[in-house]
Amino acid sequence: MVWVPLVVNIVVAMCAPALARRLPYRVKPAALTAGAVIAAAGWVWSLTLLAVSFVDRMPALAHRLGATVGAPPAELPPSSAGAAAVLAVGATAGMLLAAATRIGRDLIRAERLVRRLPPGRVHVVPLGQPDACAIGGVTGGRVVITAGMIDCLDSAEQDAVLAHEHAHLAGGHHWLRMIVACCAAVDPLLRRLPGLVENACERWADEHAARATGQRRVLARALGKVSLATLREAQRHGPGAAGEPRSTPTTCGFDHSGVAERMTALLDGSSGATRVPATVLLATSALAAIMIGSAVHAGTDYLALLR
Amino acid sequence: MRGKGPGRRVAGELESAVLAVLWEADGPLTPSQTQEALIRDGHELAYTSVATTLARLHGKGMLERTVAGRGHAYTPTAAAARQLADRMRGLLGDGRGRAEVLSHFVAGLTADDEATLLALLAAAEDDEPSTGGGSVPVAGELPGSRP
Repeated sequence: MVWVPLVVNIVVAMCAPALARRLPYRVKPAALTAGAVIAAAGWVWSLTLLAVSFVDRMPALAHRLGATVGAPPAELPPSSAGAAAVLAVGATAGMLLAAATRIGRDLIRAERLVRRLPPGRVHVVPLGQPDACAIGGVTGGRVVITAGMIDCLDSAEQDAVLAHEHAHLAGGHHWLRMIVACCAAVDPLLRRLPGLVENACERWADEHAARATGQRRVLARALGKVSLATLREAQRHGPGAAGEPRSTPTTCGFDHSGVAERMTALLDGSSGATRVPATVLLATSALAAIMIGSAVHAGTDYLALLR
Repeated sequence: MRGKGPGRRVAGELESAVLAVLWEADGPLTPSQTQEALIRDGHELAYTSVATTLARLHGKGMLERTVAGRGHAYTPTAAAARQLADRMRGLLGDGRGRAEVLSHFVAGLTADDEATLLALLAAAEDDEPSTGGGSVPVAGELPGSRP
């Protein structure tokens, strides 16, 4: 049973993109995050059990750890798997620590900024690059917009952008993204989940902004204008500007284009699927049940064996 | 040192609030105009504390002062702009831009997207003359725009 969570983990990692396409925007960020948490927890639990089984075979080590030493029961997995699991548990702990440190530092910086910026207003940052950003801290959030962004949008478009950023704060999206980043740090199979959750959050915020302002096209137009301006800015500062190492944070890193998808969705006029398809609901609940059930079963098994 | 902490923080918050008001103003503001704007923002502040804060910020080189009537009017200096920009850039990160605490309006663009985006933008600006008429598409203004 200890292997089941590992298998389910692989299934989750493989099905997540397909799942992301079928879910309605309202539940997508939370559903993907929950999936990532369950998969990562199952993964860590399985690795820990395997590692414990290995420790149990080492009488000296087990003795030092206070465990009872007996003949290793035959049902335990092979010790090579156990040894690998010990290494994996160590690596996992290291990765989690590194990710938590980085996220914690970002959160502290964000919180400091939130406290410095007075609440109840949008803050204009005198930077030329077009950017708008929701800063999520511990005690609240702030929305900032750059002067460059204001310059390239009319007032209706600005309103749409600000509604989008406020939606991020209302949805608490930075918390979801932090959780998923930790899951991806412990479980290498989940490395695509942060990108999927980020896209899901953007879609969620788009739909909320479109509903708040009632103008899907205006938001789509703002997205297009800002994206093009950002690309131009990146080209101008990009390869030629060796003297100025500043880079535009919005243009880095990803190989998928969420923006084009978001614009298409806004222009289509409908907010996509509104209900969770029954098959998807069944499959995911079954998967979660298998995962949790097998993890619990394996846990009790091990306790019984080791006692 | 420790006793000074809270007072200092309050002063810092006040300065941020005053600067925020001045950023959004179209031109220089007198102390009483600043006070009005702060009250609109929900900061109930006495005229004297607003005037003191403005003078302190001026002393730090964050505000520029011009004579207006019998008093002064204030507007943020380039140094203040630079300081705020630096702080934001510090938070926005070292270019990796993957901080979970930040939700950018657009993220994950690649140069390959340009053609798709242009087509979508054209579609977004189509058949909507009511609001879209006044705004010139950014794509057209910028150098290097592809036909």
